[in-house]
Amino acid sequence: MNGEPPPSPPPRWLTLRLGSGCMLAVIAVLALSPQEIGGWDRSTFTSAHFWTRCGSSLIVLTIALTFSVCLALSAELLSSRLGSRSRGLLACCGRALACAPVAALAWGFVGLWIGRHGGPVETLMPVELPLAENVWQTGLARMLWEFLAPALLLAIPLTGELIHGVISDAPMTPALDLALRARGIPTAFIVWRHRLRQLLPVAGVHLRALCLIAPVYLIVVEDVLRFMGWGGWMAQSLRGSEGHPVILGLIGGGGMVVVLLGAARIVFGRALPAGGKMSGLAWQPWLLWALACMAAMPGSPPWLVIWFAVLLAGSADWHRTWLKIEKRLPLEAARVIGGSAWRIWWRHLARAQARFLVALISAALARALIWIAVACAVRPAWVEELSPPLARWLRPLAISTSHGAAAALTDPSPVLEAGGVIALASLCLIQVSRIIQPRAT
Amino acid sequence: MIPARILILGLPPLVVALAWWAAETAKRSHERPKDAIVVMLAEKAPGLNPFMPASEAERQIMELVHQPLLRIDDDGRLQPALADVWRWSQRVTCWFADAETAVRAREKLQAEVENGNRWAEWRLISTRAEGNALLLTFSDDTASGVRDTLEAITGLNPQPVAFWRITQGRSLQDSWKHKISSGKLSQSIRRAWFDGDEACEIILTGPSQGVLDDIRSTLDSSKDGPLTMSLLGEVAALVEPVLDLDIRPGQFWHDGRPVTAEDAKATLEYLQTTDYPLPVRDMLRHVQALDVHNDGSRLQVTFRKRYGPALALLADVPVLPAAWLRSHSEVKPSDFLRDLPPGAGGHRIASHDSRSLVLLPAGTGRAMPRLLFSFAASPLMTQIGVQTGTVDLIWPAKTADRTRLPQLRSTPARQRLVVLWNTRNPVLENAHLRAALAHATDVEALIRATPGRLGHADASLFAPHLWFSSDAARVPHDLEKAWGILADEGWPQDVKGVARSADRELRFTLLAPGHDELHARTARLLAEQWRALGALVDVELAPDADALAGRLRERRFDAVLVDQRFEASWDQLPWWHSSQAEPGGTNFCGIMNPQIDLLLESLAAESDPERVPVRVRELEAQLVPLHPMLTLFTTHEEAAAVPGLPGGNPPAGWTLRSLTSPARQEPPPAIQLKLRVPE
Repeated sequence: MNGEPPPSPPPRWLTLRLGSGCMLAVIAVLALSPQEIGGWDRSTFTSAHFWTRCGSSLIVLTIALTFSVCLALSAELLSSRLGSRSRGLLACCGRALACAPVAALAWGFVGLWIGRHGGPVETLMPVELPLAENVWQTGLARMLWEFLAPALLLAIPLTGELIHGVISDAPMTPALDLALRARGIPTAFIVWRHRLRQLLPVAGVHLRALCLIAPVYLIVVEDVLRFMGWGGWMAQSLRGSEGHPVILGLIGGGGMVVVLLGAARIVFGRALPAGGKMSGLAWQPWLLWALACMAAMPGSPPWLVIWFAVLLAGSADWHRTWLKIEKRLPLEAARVIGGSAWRIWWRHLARAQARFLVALISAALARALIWIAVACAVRPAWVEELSPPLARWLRPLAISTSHGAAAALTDPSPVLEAGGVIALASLCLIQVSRIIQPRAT
Repeated sequence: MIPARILILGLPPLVVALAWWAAETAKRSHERPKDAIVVMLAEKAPGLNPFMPASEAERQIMELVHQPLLRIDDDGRLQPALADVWRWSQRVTCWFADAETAVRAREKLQAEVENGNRWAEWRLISTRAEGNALLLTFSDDTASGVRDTLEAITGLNPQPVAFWRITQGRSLQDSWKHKISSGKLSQSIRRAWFDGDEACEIILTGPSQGVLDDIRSTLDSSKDGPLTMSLLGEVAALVEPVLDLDIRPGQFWHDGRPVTAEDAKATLEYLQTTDYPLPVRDMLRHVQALDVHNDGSRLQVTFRKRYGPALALLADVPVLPAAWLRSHSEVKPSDFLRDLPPGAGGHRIASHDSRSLVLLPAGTGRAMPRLLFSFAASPLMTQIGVQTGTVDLIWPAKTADRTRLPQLRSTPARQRLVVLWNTRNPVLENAHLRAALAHATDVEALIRATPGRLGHADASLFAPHLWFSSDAARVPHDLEKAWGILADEGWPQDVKGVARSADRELRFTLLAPGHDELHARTARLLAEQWRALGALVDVELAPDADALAGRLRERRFDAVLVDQRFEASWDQLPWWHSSQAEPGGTNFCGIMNPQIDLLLESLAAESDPERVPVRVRELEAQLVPLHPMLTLFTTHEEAAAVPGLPGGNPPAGWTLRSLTSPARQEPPPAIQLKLRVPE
């Protein structure tokens, strides 16, 4: 994600691994939560209301992911004729969209759409008199808008991620363009048959990676728009630090991720699985587990958990990238010549490792900044546990009271400015990471 | 290839187009309907108890749903509501030795009236014999013909009517109900009236020693405490004022049943059994009986003694259906939510829940708007309502975006802050000193410095904007004059600026409720203002309402800052009569003036609303110069409205009712019955 190494292919038995990860997260929350199991209301676990909410959120996620992947593929296929600079700029725009904090996007939408334009958001409207009867178009429009508003809002950062990912990774596919054209195959056929077939696995991998992060973004979107879905449930549970609703949310969230990944497999086909334990470790919704654990242990400094989650999430990708970099270094030749281990490391490895470390830290910082922004939007009280400069940046995004929400509605500029600062900082860190990182090819 | 191309290229614009169409259609559908008014309130959903509204908004909502017998209109005048005609009369009852004598008395009176043409002189409407009792009805409750009438039948030896007061240590009312009311003794007791739980007054006629002995033997027991009986007085006949209220025909409850006098009777009987702190309780204490006549179209209220303000106290008291009251034998507050009583007002409650209330027009005649009330509206929801143009009125106005809702509507002032002086206090007993303190009070500065919506109050003892309101002028703020008064009264200022007499400095304590920021702040500001005069004022905050009430009851205060609730009644006797001046009474200021007592008594007995203003001015001319009370300011609420909303800001205050009255209509004239004297 975001200038980091491209995501590794998903491991084997991904569904099983996700289920295990979910169970471990549940156990961790149980262990950390001060609530006793005996005091829990077990009927909530079979409540139709909760699973209906999960269904609503699944619809929103499906619309957002489908919209994003279609837009990303369109962008890549239509821009295939453009030069590399133009495509690079398009990828950069996607990266910038992906860096925008989803809370800033959500509050900005509320402030501009409702505050300036006076447009409605169905889930945020006050009580009204019932509609006149037999006006099915209005009922249909309201229902569509109720789902499309959060879906399109969620699609903004997801689209940015996918555009950047697909355009950046497209050159890694074999270049068949010249060969096909030499055979007289029409351009449209080349693009929409052959090129698309090459891009689908790439898009599939990126989409699968997004399925692990999109539910967390959805928490922020549904919380801001008061959408009655799984995200709203999780937001209230995380703020309340109540053990069993969080656990139920984790189970629901894990279930939704499994369903999305299953749908991705149907659409994009089965991806070549990656081997290694690191791959299995990386393919978990770490941000979701991290937020749940942080909420279960009130009082302790929570930001260490986010850091662990960031490092674990990128571990496989960075490990794979380092292996590729290491392969290009003339280490074997140096050993043959008879250089000592220290000399070989000093002359060939140290510099690469230092640059790689700086690149990793920069990228991890960028991701952590965005994840911390998400965490502060979900639970505004955590802002106070940040260092003052960072807290000052993030405080406009941490809206906890109705008065704050009304102020953001009237004037969204503080929220948008804070979002812009976070996005710019993340983008700069990512660029630094890209510049410094040794090339693997 | 083609389906994939269509899907990939076509899906995003299709979704965007669909979202655009859905958003625009939804926006149009949320436009405010022209026949509806949406009100957003910050308070929580009301309990819908028409007798105990928790807020001004709830009170006004209940006024839309429920109708009273009489109403105070925007001009402050009594107007018909469920009742369209009312009249006072006087019933005189004489008891004789037997029924035959009573009949002879009746015949004699009828002959006297017809033959002697005494109608105009005596104003005797009807005579009726019931057993050994003769019932006479006079058209005027002040009829002087009563004496002449009684003189005409003196020769038939009517039995004397004796008033007895019985007290017992423990609950007398329960014992009376179980042992007396259900037995033979009740037939000998003409009237019984309970003064609290431990005392009652009864009326006996003729030889009554046997009845008294029976009562004593029945009730007197060591378990219930000793029984005491005392004779209050004897008269020739029992005189009882009667108020007749005719229900306007064609009135229906929202469930379709007609409104009858039985409903009004059931409502007043219900209120007699409750402890709602309503002004009408002052009237109900004096009620002897409630009866229904004329096939249910007339409510007859028989009083123990003349109580003129009864009409005003009936104003704005909602009437509920008798059927609903009977089906809820012990009405609990939750009954008003679970099983809504139908009203007879212009609107009916169509639906309600914890967040909203919908009122729909009850009738089909006049076009009235639908009303939607949204409760517990958060600042975010309020702002969304304003930005999307889906709200017409926001209450309170401080939560509204004033650029979109520029019009302010001020609700009627229901109460004001006043300072009551303890005139028995050695320092404050001097009326001139109290006048000096009034001159030293800058009410404008208080209003500027105190939070909340505050209005100017006059110095009148009575509520403003009523037909008898006097708008008495306030004592102007004049510190120089105040110093002069103090100096003239022997309270010059010393070098430290403290006013001193020969033996003491001007120091007293101002007691105020401690639970309210408005009172506490006002008390401190007053103390600062009076310090400029030279008075050392210690502010003491009472921890709660019970503590404050106890201090008032025991007269353990020098000056007290309290809320005075405005009432439509012109009866001021409880507040200023010398009979209430002792600890335990309600004359907290301790005013004891025989002339003022007489004026208070005549005002309380005045039953003609047209003569009330004159009596009010007579009373205020005597009482206001004594400065027993210092009026400060009224408190009221404000709502913010969109431009074009009907109503406005009448002087008496804006109410929700103005939203439902598109054009001001002349109220129907009240019918007054007068006896025309033939030339």
